[in-house]
Amino acid sequence: MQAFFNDLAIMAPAVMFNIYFAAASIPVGFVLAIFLALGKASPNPIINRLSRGYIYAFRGSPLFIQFFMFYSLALSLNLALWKPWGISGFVLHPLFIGPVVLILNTAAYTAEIFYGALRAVPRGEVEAAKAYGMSGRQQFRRVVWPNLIRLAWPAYTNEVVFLFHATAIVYFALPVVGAQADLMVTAKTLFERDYNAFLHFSVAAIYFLAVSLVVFFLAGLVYRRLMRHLPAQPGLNFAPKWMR
Amino acid sequence: MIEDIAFWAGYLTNGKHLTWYASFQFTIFAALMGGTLAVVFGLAGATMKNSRFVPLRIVGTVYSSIVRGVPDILFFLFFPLAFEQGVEWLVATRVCSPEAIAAQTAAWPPCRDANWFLGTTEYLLLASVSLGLVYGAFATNVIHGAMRAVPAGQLEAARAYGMSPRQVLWRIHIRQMWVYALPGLSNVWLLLVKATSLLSLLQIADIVLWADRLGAPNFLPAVGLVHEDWRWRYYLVLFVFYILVTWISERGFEAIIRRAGKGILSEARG
Repeated sequence: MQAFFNDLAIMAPAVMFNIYFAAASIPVGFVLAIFLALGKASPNPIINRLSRGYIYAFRGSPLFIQFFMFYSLALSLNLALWKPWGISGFVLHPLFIGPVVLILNTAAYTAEIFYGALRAVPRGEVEAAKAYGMSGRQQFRRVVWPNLIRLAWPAYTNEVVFLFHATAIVYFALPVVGAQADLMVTAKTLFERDYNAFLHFSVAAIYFLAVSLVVFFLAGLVYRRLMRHLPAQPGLNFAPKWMR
Repeated sequence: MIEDIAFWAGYLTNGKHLTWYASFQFTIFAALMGGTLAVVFGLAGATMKNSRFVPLRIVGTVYSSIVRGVPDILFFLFFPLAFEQGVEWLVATRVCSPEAIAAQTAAWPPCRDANWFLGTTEYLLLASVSLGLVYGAFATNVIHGAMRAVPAGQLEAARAYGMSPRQVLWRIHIRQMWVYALPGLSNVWLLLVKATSLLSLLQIADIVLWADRLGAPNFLPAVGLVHEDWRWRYYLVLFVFYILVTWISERGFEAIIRRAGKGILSEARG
């Protein structure tokens, strides 16, 4: 039991790295995904093909390979670009290149979700907006986007949790700098010290589960806020209701 | 021009490259074996989740929600390690004498005789089982949903014919479930194919490891072609390979779904 609490304490700083990777990539990925989804729905053949190809390529290949590919690409450009510019320590740092690859990856998955939602936006509402004389920008801002985000939010929540889970492989593909170890690396080092697989991996799993639950809870609050125009779902009663 | 082609043909078929091509067998084996096991575990999990017997139901629900709640890589690493330790512990209770245990200095295994050396074959099998377990949890969810989508009238008709519960399950319920499950199973298969890139973490010399070795910079003419860091080119090949596999799988599943949906109301095909 003491060992369990020790592990909990050792892994508390480690989980911050996973949270950092997720938190650094989600906002940028979100914005990029909006443009990719609009690009996939665009009538312009070049933009359409490019966004489609991008989304397909990044959804159709493993994140693990993407990490290796972009990291080795950055390494091979080191002598030509980063070194002369004096930023190689920054560009090649896992805390920078990790979120970059995660952004590229999650943007593709999120764009697919947003594209599905975009196609489900009620046509009549868009036509009504046009009839009101709204410009394209206004239509998107006031009619399409509010519908889109409401439709996409539950699926987007899942994608955020999957992205958080995907941060577990960052340090299997990128070098670990000093003591900057995430949950999986910490669990593996602890395992190699005393070979207690059940304890260390379970503690890491508990951290992953706990953060996922927090994400689901926060996303649920946002969803409630997004859906505030609809009558609230009747909640659970903890005491009998005498008056109705 | 001809010389160039001959040179590159020779380079791409040298011993190291041939080993790389041969290592695709590990990935393909893990994908096919893992996929089969995932369907088996998914069927077992969904049947348990649908069971009227509460403990079985709890086992099925806990399995599918816990395994889906942690990252696939965590379980993928944990299962083979835990399995190896479990076997070593079992062996240790038989073969280890107290003196041997006292003589052992390392933390594990309990004594030297209980050590179980795992080669590529064993790790590949364990990796397939662990892929099956992880994606079986996803398949459990898909199949559970599909089983609930089978029209109740079909099951009632089967019962009215006097079939036993087991016959209803095997002859009607599971047979009719596939049409509803196939789109979801296709997604699970695509996830599983992408997870096969992780095999190198279990000390299998798979395509990723060989791409790393082949692309590593070489400055000694005696060792072979002198080239700088080409790893990203080899990874690009793998990137394209996985995209192609995804594309082929999608086309394949489309064909299967069309075939399986024949004679069934088109709404089932979604």
